[in-house]
Amino acid sequence: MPLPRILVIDDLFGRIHSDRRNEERANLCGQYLVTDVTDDESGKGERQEVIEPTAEVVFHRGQRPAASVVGSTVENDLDGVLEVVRCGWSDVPLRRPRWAMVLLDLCFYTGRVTEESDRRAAGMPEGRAGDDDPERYFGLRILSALRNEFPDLPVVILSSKSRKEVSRDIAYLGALAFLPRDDSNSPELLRDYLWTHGLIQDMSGIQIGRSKEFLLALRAARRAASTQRNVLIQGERGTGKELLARYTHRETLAGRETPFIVVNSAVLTPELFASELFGIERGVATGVEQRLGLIQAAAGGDLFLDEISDMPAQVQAGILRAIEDRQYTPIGARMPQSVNVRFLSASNADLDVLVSSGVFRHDLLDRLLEGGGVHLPPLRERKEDIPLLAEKFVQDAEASHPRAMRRTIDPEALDLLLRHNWPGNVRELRSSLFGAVTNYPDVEHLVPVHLRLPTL
Amino acid sequence: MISTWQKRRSEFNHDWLKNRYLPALAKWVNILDDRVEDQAFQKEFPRTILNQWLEYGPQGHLLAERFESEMSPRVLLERYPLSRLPGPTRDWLGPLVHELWLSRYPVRQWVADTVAAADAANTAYGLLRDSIASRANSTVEELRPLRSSFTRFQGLCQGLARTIEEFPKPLII
Repeated sequence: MPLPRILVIDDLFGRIHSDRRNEERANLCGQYLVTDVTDDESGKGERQEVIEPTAEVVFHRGQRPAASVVGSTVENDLDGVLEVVRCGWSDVPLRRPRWAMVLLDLCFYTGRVTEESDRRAAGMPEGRAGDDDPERYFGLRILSALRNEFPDLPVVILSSKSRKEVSRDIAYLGALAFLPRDDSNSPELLRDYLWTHGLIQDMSGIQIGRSKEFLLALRAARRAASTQRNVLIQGERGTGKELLARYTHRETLAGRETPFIVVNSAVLTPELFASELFGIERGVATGVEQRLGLIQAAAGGDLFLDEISDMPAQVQAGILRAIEDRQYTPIGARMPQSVNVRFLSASNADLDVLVSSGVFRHDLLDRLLEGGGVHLPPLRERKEDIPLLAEKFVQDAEASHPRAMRRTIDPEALDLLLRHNWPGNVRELRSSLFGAVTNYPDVEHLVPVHLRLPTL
Repeated sequence: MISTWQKRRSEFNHDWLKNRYLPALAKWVNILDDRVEDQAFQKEFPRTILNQWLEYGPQGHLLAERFESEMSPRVLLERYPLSRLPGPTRDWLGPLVHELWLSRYPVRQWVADTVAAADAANTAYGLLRDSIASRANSTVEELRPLRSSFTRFQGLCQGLARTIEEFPKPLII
């Protein structure tokens, strides 16, 4: 799994030396435990190795020229910044791996590089009036421009300047956090910000996808996972809601083993739901043994209510208190019991519509959403992920078949996959590819005819 | 208008301490923890980079000591247009403005905090320097037992950076 890639826009760390490495940059990478993959440092002496890097980092100065010497005049370059960001964010196809996050400096020094300024830091200019003025920081201009052109791009301020001087401005301009230069827990802080704000792939490799839409859903799930409050996942059928619920569960664990119990809401009938969910006390009737309910089985972890929109109205009323108070009364018990459980739920129907039509309880929806909602995009809105998904599904299908040959997906077949609308989403894509391998186990090329999709 | 004091503070705290010295110290601690390898830096840090403190470190103390005289609004009387006030007026107005400024802001507390932080960092540096000098080759293996001394010095440098940041950025009245 590739490491997340961060873009650092900073005048000091982004400047280039023609004959040697940028020592300040190398030290920053050694401080934050990231690997410099900017293509301007190769062949400039010994490289440092970060043993377990958190991310790969590309540095950009944000100024012209990127390499300055005594006598050069350094000017800020907003257009150049936006061009670099586009390469890893909005170009189709992307010219670089997608930026997981941008770390943005505030104060950019401009003007002439003098003997004295060069002695303090090679290639740095002496600075002009206003460069160091918090109301005129070039970093704030960049932030504003990024917010306008790339509203979903996660931007965190990385600065040695005072946070309090800019905290209101950066909040208004959409920065997600401030990473100070003088924090002794800097690697942990960066890792934490990447997890909370970055657009990063599922490092376990279970959730496949690197499109912006999918990574935004993963981030929403991680953010929801950081609390013990209930989470509602909405998305069309076949988009992978249960997988996302499991991801939310895993990301919550922090190394702990806790239960994850799946319940199909449609099978919870008014007659049976109480015994299924709440359990039965011993001796309710002759010969009846105590039976643990699913809520108790999920204690300390998550109860996943799949297809919650199919839950009958009586069951909705019956489960409301358990979801609201984390209290339930087993059949035959006199007193309610408390339980520490989080309710994850999923629906392919628009629950707001169902609430409006009186089919779904408004108060139940509010409680299911207390920790936030996650929208899982349909496959047609994340077609960038189809090649990755297709490769994974073909490999899985080959592995599950006793004698299937290893094959490559021909460009014509991939083109067909990309043009199909996939109303059944990822599940339909998986079925299609498993079918192709099952029906044609003895070929080395997956071609359009194997897919049984309408050719457009 | 940026005063000489503000410029010196920016050069010390922003340009040197936070952007260059603290990242190098943090990287060195990560090297001691086997999280980073950089042969050139490993040789250079204990011999030269750490000792940048001797050249730049005293600036923290000096900045604190000079704050009251250089950042008091009294200095505005030496600049146009207040410099055109009659001399006798400036003679009584200057001390009055200065006393009012001292009563309005915890100036001497800022100064005392920074002096204390600078002195503490300087003492820690001295102890560290002596400990390193007693080891022949200053290799990572030799210096690893001093990790807690390095992190203590690092923490004190961070504390110094924060106390210097507490001083107001513009000249306040």
